[in-house]
Amino acid sequence: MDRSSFVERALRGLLLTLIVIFFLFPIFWILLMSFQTNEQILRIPPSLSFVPTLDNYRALISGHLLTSAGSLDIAFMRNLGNSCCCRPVPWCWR
Amino acid sequence: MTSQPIDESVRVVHRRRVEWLPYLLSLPALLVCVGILIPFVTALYYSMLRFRLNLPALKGFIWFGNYTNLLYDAEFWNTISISLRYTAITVGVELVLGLIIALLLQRQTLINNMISVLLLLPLMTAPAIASLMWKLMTNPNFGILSYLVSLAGVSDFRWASSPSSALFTVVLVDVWVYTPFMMVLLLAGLRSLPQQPFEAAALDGVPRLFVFFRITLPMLSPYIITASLFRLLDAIQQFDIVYAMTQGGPGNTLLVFQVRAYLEFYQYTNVGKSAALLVVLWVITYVLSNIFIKNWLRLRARSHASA
Repeated sequence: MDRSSFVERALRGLLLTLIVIFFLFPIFWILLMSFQTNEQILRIPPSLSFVPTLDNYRALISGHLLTSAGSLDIAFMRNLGNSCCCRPVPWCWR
Repeated sequence: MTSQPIDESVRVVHRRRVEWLPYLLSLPALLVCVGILIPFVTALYYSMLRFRLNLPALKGFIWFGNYTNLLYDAEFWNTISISLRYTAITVGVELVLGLIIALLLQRQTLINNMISVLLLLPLMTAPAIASLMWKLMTNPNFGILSYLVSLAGVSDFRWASSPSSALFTVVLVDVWVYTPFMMVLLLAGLRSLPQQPFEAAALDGVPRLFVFFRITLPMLSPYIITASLFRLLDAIQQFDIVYAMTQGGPGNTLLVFQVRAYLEFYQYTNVGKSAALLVVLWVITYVLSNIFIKNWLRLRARSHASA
């Protein structure tokens, strides 16, 4: 393998890059979306220029998301609790 | 003569101890077995009932009526053909792609190890979440993939919402989620192969394609069969990706077995037909896995005999 030519190594590198892009791009894109507001996510066409915001994560923890369309209740913390410790304690399901 | 009574008493004591201990030891396995068999037998029983939740008065035992009805049902044959096509395409694509990636990453260098860890990320997302991610990205209005496709000149590609490309989209998501699984198994297999045959081939100057087809593939085949078996059983019972992406697809284009049985139960409340569908799925799965395991055992016996 050590005597592999330059062309072959370049080809391997190219293939690996394509594979890594295919498998990691969706995760990368969703990660970016998590730092955007709803208006920025729904832009047509999609673009990469935005000011990152932590509102979505704050909403997950506090349970309320305020958007321009109205407010939204999210039960994420309770779901997380239920998933982590699936215990039949009354204050867990509330 | 004198040893006879002693021998007998020993045997009696022995038998008494043997009587309950094996049962006690196998009790957990027995309990698990019963826990598996009760739902299974219930499903078999339901599949022989005329049992519709909206027509409770008609409930009754009809032997194999549900199955014979299925035989004359064009939708059922459609389901079988879609399930088999979906399974064949996903397992085939994942096997080829996983093998290519494993071969590319075969040498243990730092960057290869890093890439193989990174490629495991899709496997760690739940399939339902992964399909929601892809649904966001393939949305015809604001999805990034729709935008990229339109940049490439293909306008009006509807991804999962058009019957012609729905299968492609779902297969794409399945490939994205499960190819890393294939890759991990095949990579482990490739790296554990003995080195001598390859060294001998290199000394003799054997062409690399020949080495791949006559040495690597045969030695790797137990791993390939194991990985494909897992994926095959998973793919023919696919539910979460298809249901989260399209809920059975535009029209009936993606009604695979479990989605169809689910809809039959929860939308049309036809319990008997749903159970019959799932029993047919069980038969298909059973036959497929039996064929594969027989082949696998034969291969293993051959490799042990030659070693």
